[in-house]
Amino acid sequence: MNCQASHNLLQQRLDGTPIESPELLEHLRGCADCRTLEQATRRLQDGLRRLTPPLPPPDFAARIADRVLLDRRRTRRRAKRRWAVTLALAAGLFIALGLRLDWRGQSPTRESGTSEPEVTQAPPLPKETPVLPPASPTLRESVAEASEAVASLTSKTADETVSSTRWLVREVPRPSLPKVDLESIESPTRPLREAGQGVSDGLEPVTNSARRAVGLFLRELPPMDGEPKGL
Amino acid sequence: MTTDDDATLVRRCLRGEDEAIHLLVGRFQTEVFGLCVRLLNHRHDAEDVTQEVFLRVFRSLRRWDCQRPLKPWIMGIAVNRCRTWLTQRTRRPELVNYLQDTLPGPAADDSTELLQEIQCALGELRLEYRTAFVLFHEQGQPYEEIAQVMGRPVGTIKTWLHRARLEILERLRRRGMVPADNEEHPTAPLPKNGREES
Repeated sequence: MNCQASHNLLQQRLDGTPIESPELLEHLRGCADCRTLEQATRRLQDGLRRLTPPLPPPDFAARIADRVLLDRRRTRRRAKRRWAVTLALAAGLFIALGLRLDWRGQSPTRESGTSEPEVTQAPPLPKETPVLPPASPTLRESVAEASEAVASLTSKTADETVSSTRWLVREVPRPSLPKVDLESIESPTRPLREAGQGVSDGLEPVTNSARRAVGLFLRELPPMDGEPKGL
Repeated sequence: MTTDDDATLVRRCLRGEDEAIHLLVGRFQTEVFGLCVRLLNHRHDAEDVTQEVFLRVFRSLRRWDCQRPLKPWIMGIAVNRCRTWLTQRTRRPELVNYLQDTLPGPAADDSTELLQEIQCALGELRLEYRTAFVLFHEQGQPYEEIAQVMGRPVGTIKTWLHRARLEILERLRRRGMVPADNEEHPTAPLPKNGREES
């Protein structure tokens, strides 16, 4: 056996494998270096048997668990806030985009001067409900709570967006309508008046003839002297 | 409740059960703390790092692959945190009075001195060697598990552990902890293991 094989066997002993090799003993008898290594190995094994792992303080696990729970609550709150802000921003962006599209769609109509600008109302949003801390923070409750918070924030954002849009609409100058000469426009009642005049002109000879016939008829009637007797 | 396997315990932790969190911390705190003390050589730093390790464990618990054992995953996080801590630590490492934990009282022989020498030798090792040595000899983890913890092949872990042992044995010999046997070459160093890292 050479020194390398001897070292390997000593390493195996430190690995926990019991070594009973006559060749190793024979080699150790003749090799002082390997003998020293073997004695050091026994010392190291002796020390490792006595070495016990350091123990944590008695309340260490409770402290760690409390800190973990605190960190979880903080993380959950932060995530909820981030979610709510993101959704509110998305909702605000969506509403603003919708208003812009609506504005573009109404521009030609307003230029024609036939209709007044209308303020687009936001779709009805769920009523704001108070956000209460969950009794037991399960996932389902967390989601429900987050959705309530999002609805509340979205509602607020929508209200603010609508009010600011109203303010913007009020500030926008009214479109200038083209000047129209009203006198040159025919009155809508003139044709009726003319039609009535035509009708009365047409009926005038008939009424004159009727008036004359009635006069002749009254003239031909015998005069009445008095009232009949006995009445 | 204590009979929960790791996957069940993790599921309960993810559901937000406080008791499961206490159980998981209690199950692994000794190993994590012991490793941190040995790697950092400082008890208070080890407490801080152990807390950080568990914070990170619970923050990334959803990423744990339940097909793999939990302990190497946690110990891997502990090793990484210790490495980061040692990189950031600017002050000189203070020797920890770990012997209060390991020895109940003064011994009649030189065992206290032997333990001190082993501990000092351990503190002088490279971090990888020290980690492999502590995980194997103090925590009794097999090569395969240490390889998972350190993210290296088993052959590399064996090489590191053998070199760590040789360096400690050399220190024990230099410090006179080994009975003098070779009178002809009293200062001859112990032979080096010539194997390369795999």
